[in-house]
Amino acid sequence: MDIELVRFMFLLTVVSFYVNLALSIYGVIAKPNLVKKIIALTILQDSASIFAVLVGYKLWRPGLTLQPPVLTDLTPTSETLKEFVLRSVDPLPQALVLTAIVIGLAVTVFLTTITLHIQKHFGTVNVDVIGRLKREEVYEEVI
Amino acid sequence: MIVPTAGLPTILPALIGFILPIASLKIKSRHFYALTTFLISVAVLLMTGYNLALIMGTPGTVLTYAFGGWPPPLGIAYTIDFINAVLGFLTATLFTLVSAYLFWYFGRIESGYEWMSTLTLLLLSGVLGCLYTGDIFNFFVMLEVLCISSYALVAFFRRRKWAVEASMAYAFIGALATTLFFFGVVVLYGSFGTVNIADLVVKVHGVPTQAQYLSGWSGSCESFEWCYGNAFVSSALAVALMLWALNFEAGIFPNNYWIPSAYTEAPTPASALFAGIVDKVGSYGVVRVFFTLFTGFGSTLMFTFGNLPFRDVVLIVLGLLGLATGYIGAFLMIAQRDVKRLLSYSTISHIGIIFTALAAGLSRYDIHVISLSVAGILLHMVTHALGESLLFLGLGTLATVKGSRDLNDLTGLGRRYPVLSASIVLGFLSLLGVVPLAGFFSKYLLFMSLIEANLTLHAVSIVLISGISAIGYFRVIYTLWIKQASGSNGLSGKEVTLPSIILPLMALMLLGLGLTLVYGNVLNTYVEYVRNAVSLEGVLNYVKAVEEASKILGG
Repeated sequence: MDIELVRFMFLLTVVSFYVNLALSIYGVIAKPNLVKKIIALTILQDSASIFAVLVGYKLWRPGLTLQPPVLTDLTPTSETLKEFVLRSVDPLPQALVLTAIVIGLAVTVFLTTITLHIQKHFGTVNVDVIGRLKREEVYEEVI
Repeated sequence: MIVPTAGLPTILPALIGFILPIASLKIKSRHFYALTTFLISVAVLLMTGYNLALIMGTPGTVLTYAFGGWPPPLGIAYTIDFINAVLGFLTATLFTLVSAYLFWYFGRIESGYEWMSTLTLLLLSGVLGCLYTGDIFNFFVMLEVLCISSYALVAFFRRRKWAVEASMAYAFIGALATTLFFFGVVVLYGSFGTVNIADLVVKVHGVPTQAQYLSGWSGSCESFEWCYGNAFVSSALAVALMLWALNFEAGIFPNNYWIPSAYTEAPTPASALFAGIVDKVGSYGVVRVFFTLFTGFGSTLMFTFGNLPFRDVVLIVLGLLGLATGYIGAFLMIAQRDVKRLLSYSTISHIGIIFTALAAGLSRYDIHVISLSVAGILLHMVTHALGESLLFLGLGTLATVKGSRDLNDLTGLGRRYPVLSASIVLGFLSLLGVVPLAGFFSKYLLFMSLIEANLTLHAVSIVLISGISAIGYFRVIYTLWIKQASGSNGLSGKEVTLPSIILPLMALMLLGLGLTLVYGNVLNTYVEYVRNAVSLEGVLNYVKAVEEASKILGG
């Protein structure tokens, strides 16, 4: 594996991240089906997480062994710490991503529940149909 | 100064809130849940009041609290200056009043007391977390806590199909907005290597020597060269992403479509909290981003765009969006027949007025004008929160008693419930800006800041928007007091004792605040306090306080 290949893979990840982002935002806004909206939203959340991990990325060079940000030495000296910082990727984005994933789970669970209730009430999960019904039942009566 | 009361108000409600559903297995009494919510709110009120008193005591004090004892840029640090101390105290006051109202409201709903208490406490935790936090990632986490509890509160009556639909409309785009906020936070972290606001302030202004201790933990980016990528582009991108989430929460023009349905369908106490404080969190976030983080004192957002600094372009656009929101809210309000929907359009128009004043915060203006505009924004948040919550509680009570939210069904109820309706009238007059009430002084400050910034059109628009709103407000007052009801209203035996105590209390607060402000030099002293928070020294104080905490905890 050489440095060119690593750079190419990195570029590929970044480009696919942007494509994912655009597609999922389009999906959440433009798709009328609530289930498809949920799917697009989870893709968006995962893309944001991937981006965060990408920020903590450390460029691989030949001869450098990268390691996860786990300190195995319980009583580190300043030399081992220096060595560790050189090899390890940035741990903070990973901590942020963990939090974001947990929050994403809560949001997804809520959205799924609300979609179930929508299906029970309206017999459909298509927001266009529900919107038409709302204009008829709520707004025309009001204005 | 490190004080535990800066961190505790967020932790306590969340902790108790998670215990309540477990308690519901054993305890069924609705009074227990109302009492718990009330006691927690009172405890939070005392703590936030203590924070505010400390800050009012010595000008320029900034309180901090670092969770887990980690020195600030490493751990989460809560940082309180004058702006969020006032808003924190306002939050606790509103939650105390609304949880007292819950004693009455729980008698009107059949079930779900424990869930409403849990969600209210989580909402309190989320709002206070958003306000007090000095960490941009923690702001995102607390925004999610706030949002999820709001979505659930909107869908509280899950057997009503329009409540579920309102929650759906809010939740899907809300989840999109908060995810993009997270994306903005990651962009900031990627380019500056920190998520602590004080540390970010140092780094986006390119003055690492001002806080060497903080930079010792997170690295420094002298002359923006150390940072990853282009610091200017990433600041602009992060602000763009974060602003959308904040504007969505506040309900500014393109993002205001969810507000009327959500506020209308939510249970009355929740609507009062949403209109009172939850939409202020978005406005507070904007103030924090533009007057502490990316200030006009040479931050990375000050690069030239056209022939203006980019930050000022954003503020001008926000001001114009605020104007549009104000007019849209005021005009749509006139046509409403559903009282709660009418009040939600009134909320939209007032948030628009708040955003209009951002146009007076441009970097080219004198610090006096900027502090006038921020003081106006802050005071209008306070007066609007009190007034709008009062109206939501009052008209919501009448609608609950009558069993209908239609304005025509409330005809003549003023004479049936005189105390309640008199408070409602006072609330309307305060929102309108009638002299002895507090609402006048906030509008006066907003007006003065815009006049001193030579933005006559904006200033006149505030008066015009108030005038247009007056039509809607007086329609409600006319219906309640003057219009003759046909036939008997059939309301004998429906008691409203508790609301008749809480609402006059809120009306008295508005009156008392107004009378305090009219007296002597209070208004000038208040503007001076805000000036201490948004001037260059104020921003430096903010950083210094966090650095102090970092020194003490980092050894």
